[in-house]
Amino acid sequence: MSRNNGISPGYNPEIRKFKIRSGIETLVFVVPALLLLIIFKIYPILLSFFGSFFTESFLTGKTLFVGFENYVSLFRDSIFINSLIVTLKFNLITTPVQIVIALILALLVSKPSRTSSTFRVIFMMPIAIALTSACMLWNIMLNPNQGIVNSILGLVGIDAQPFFTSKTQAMMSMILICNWRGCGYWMLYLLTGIQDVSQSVLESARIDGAGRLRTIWSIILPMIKRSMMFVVVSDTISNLLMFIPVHMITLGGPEGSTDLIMYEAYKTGFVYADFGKSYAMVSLLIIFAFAVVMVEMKLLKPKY
Amino acid sequence: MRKKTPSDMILLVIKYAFMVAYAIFLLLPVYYAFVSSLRPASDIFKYAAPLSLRTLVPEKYTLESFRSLFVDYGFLMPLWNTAWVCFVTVVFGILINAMAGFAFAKIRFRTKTFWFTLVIVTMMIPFEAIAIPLYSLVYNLNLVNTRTALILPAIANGTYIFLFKNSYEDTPHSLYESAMLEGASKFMIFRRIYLPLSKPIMVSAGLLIFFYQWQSYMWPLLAANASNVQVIQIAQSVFQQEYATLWGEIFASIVVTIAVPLAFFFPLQKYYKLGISTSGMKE
Repeated sequence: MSRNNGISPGYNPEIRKFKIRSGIETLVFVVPALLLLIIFKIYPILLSFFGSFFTESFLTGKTLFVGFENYVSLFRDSIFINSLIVTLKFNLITTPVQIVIALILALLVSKPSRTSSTFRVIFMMPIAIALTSACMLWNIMLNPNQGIVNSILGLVGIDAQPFFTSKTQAMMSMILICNWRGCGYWMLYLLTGIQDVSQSVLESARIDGAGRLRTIWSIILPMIKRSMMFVVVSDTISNLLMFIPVHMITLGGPEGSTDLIMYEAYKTGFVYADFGKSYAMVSLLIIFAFAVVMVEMKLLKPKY
Repeated sequence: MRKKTPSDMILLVIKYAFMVAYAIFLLLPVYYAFVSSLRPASDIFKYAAPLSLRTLVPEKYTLESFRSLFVDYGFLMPLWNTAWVCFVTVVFGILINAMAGFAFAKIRFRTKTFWFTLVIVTMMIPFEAIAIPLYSLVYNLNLVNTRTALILPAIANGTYIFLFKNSYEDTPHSLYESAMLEGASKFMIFRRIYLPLSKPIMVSAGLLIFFYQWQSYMWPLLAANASNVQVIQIAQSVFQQEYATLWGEIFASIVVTIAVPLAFFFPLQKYYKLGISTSGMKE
């Protein structure tokens, strides 16, 4: 401090004024975003965990601490057990299928050429279309009586299918819509990963005599592990919390065959006004998603 | 270039056949919606089965469904609501997230690591997971059935903060330091140097925010389903439930709902891709 003629910088009024101004400026930069994130993202999550230990809706103002009662009653409830199984089934099919298709699409359009970029834009196009619109549209097209899909099937000699009206086909129809909408989106992430793989690496693999499949398996896949991990994790989370097709088309039916947990949670809260139980479902879903993501990250962790 | 062998040719044919088939799978529903919305009401399902050229190419075209949708069924209101919600969210979303991104990239302050970790954590929380508890918060704030309820929770977003932070980190730090030495305030540096530099990222973030708001369904369903604040996604779904037989208007409502984002998507798709590649995987 002696270099400043004995005045330490903290006590110099000019510097001090500057420091305060600078500090306030920093606050103005970060506080709005952080405040909004805390209020609208962090707080609701905490509320959901906290609220799952209480019963009676917040609407009446009376709340009663019940411990794990909401969770216990969930696992005694056959409707919830059913929706748990349905959710697992939906995820075990949708997520892997979506990622494999996304990967194939990404590999097909990764080379920079005019045809590739045309197809790339077409494959990306459903991103611009809301899942709600996709559901409405496909629901009309999959109508067993006057839907265009059955007309097309009729052209190749396949009988009219029941789609959403059948217990066995409703889930598959839902998965079809989710894939129609989702594959292009995940393709985009994988595509950025593939396009980062340097041309010289691919070239040297070709010179070394590696075939197409060999190149994909031994070079491209290991090099896009980062994007792949991101896609696997994000896709898992978004599919575990799938809500729109159930609410818009099936309402959980026929016979509970498409009754995803998120829809049950919505119904429990907003139709039966049992928010404690609804929070318990959401909390379970979040914990489960977190656990799955942890396992996925462990399995996919890059080894280098 | 090595010579194409017959097996190469077969592979090429399979590749393009698959790509064309998948493209048809994606485009057909959109085409079908457009075509059906332009048909006279009586023709919509007239040629549905068996499949013929008439199923896909209408005999007569009319805009009657759109006129009816907007004039008789007041679809302009949800369109306006959605446009307003999107516009405000995009403007504030870009500004607030860019400022936070700038602070995390360039300004040194204590507890920065902690706050940034918090931002990352919020990135992993999908909106559906918090929609139900968020309702009780918005209810207590007396914001149910207001457009504010749709706007406020969508403004700050870890992904966009991350996007801006990455882009600002790529600019040389000397720019910041030299401006600082010349006595410019942080606002000045941000507004005059960094914000103009991040124009492509602003377009990307704006597009992502716009798509998100235009397409969101669950939150408006819970927080703002009264008819005067209804957004387009709710309106089209309610319309279908109430007037299940007005197929022309239903198709018209779908077309309006998908046409607006598509109109932005095709010219701006490279910015969308930029946003995706800058956010996802770094760090």
